[in-house]
Amino acid sequence: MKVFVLLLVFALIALLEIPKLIRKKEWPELITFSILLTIGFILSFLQVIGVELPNPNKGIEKLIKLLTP
Amino acid sequence: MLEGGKISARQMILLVFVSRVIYWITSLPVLLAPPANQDVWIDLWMAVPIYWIVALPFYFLAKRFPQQSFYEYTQAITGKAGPWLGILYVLFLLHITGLTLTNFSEFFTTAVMPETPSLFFVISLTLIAAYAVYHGIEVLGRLSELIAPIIMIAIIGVVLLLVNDMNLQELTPFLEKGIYPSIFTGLSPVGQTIEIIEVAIILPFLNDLRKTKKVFIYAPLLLVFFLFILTFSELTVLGDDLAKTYTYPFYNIVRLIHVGDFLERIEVIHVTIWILGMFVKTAFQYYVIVLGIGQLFHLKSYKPLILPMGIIIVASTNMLGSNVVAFREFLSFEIYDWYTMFFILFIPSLLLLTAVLRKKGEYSK
Amino acid sequence: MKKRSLNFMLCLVLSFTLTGCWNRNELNTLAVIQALGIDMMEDGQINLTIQLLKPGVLQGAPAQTKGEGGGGPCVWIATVKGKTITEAIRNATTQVDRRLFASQNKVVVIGETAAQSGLSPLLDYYFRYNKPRELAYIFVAKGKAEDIINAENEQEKVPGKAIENLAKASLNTSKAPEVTFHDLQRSLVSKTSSSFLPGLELVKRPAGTTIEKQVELCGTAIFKKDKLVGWFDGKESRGLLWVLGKVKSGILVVKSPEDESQKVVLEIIRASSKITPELIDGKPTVTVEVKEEGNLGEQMSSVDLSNPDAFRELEDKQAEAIKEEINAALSKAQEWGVDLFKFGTEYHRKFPAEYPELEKNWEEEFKNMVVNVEIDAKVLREGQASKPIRAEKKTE
Repeated sequence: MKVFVLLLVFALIALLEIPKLIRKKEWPELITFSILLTIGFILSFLQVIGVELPNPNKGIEKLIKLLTP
Repeated sequence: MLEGGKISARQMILLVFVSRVIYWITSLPVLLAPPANQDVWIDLWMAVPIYWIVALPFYFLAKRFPQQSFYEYTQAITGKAGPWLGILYVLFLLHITGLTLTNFSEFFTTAVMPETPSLFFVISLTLIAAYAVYHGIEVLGRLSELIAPIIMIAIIGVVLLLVNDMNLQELTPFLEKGIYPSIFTGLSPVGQTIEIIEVAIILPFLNDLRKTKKVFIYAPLLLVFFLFILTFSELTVLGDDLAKTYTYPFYNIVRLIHVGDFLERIEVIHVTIWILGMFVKTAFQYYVIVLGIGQLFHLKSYKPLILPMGIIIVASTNMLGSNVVAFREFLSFEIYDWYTMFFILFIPSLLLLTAVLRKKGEYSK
Repeated sequence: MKKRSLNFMLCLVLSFTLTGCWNRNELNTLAVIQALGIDMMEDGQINLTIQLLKPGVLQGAPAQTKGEGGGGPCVWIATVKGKTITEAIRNATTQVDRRLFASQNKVVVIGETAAQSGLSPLLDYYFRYNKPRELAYIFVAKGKAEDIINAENEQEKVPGKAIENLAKASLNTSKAPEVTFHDLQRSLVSKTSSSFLPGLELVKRPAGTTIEKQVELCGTAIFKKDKLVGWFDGKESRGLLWVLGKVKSGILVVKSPEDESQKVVLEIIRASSKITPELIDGKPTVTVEVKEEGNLGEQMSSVDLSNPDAFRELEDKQAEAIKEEINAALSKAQEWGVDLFKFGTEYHRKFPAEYPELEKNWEEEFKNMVVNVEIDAKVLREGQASKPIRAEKKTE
């Protein structure tokens, strides 16, 4: 169910933007758009199916504790 | 040209004001920065000169590259490393936006509506912010001009209603630990003010570039003045021990307002300005992120990027988790300020140095 | 075209999200808490007595029919147990069908045994959770809080409201303090100060009245850190309030200067205090200055007091009476070693360098402290009558 809603949202966004970009022949925009959409899809899909993603806060915290006195 | 709009120096100052002060009306980490006692309200004025020092690299860089944004002159100065540095900044801003949104939902789930899932707040705020970003910098500027006075009036009004509960005795003894710790007290708010990067990014959209100096001088004064009002009222109403124990000290003193039997429970004002201000703050950060990607990849328009970026923002906010204790440790003076200082002081200073050494950009008097 | 479709989408999204709050609370789904009693049982469990409003009855029954059996009570009592307060409140849902609503609760009564075992564990819930108000009044019951909450009231339909009014009315005599959660928090967080709370007790009423027992304010419960150590009576309570500068109004009864057998009443109009901490040879010495203004409120003797000499004598007697009250409070507080007067904070303010040393052993320092009391009491006015009705000529 959640996955279905997610796919719907992504399809909607793609339908909203891609035809316009193709019509205007804005290829760099289309490529950036697709990359971002793919990243977004991977991140949210992993979260929806329940994969625990690493928390950036923790890594930064460790790094700073290592570097500072 | 990605962005055709122009904003005035006043709008830019107010944009910074809303973005920063709105955070301080809930959490106020400066109370916990050393010396963490009743002197914070004096010591924090030290933040003004520190703000100016931190602004110096940005100011000179803007002088050298008057028509370019932070992303653009980064590329001009560092050449091949430029895009990577740009992407680093985009990731940094993305992380900050995630923190902002977590803060937003955390306040709601702690203080106002404990059972509503925080994802709901995150998604709704991102959606509304996306709408504002879609309309560009001019709309953001005007929004700040509209909302900043509301926030100012609300804060000052609330503080005036609390005058009866204030106890100036709480502020004594003056300068218990001497003047030296005030440097740390000053560093804490400056470290949080990542808005300085956002200003460096939108500086070329200033309608009168001669006013660059004005932005860098007056914005810190306005920020510190309101920080002073907030700290002063919290310390005098709660006392420093109690103010430190509360997660949201200003919210708690707003709850204390009672004028006779008829004017009570006006914390809804606090929640209202919190939503308004958070909307502007999120939209501003959202805007500089999509603008950054647009400028890094030399696109003609950033508008197609707004919706996919919104998804990334929501997803990365979710990644930050909602463990308040871990979150507060990360935002503490010892960690967060080092993290941001790297981006707001260290890298810009290096950039300026490189620009001077490689003789990039023109320096006009 | 694109803009229109975006607007349409926005309307669609908004119509789903803006229908109402997620956590909305309607009156007919709430059980509004009017007063809360916290008792500690012998086995360490917490017993909560919750006074809940019945809004329907409150609306329906006119006031005059109450007592004649019309209308019935407007509140009902739920009693629940739990290991902690939060657990007890959740356990209440097994007998209260509606969601408990604490935002309107202005009265919290703590039982004597619970107070003896310590306040801070009981109050954490109030500082952490978002619903209860910091401006609620807090009391200590002599005996069990349950009995106080259960007691009915002649005047008010909601007994909890009556207790709240008692707290507000305490300024008429200044014989009990008025303490909100916010005040309590501020004294609990201090390392040197001790806390105090107004006391409540159940007093038997004369036979034949509709209500057998009623709640009355009785002095002040004194805490050492957060544990109940004893009680101040009315006189000592006012002594405490004099030092803190919190006396708003009240009545002082002194002997008439001309006729020792009769009483003169002086009405306190305003009072303020100033605490001056000093270190004499490293020993803390505190000077308490109290400024007071009073009016001649009533006199039972028949001599004419409206002359400057008599007024001066009245002022002296007034100062004497105030001093006596303050000393009563001071000696008891020093005996128990409880710094109710925030002297420690004053030392922190005036002697920041010496304070860390003093703080370590503050209880002993406070017990052995020399306290000078200076009273500046004035009698200003005499009301609308200058002489008593049957004034005697002053015998020369």
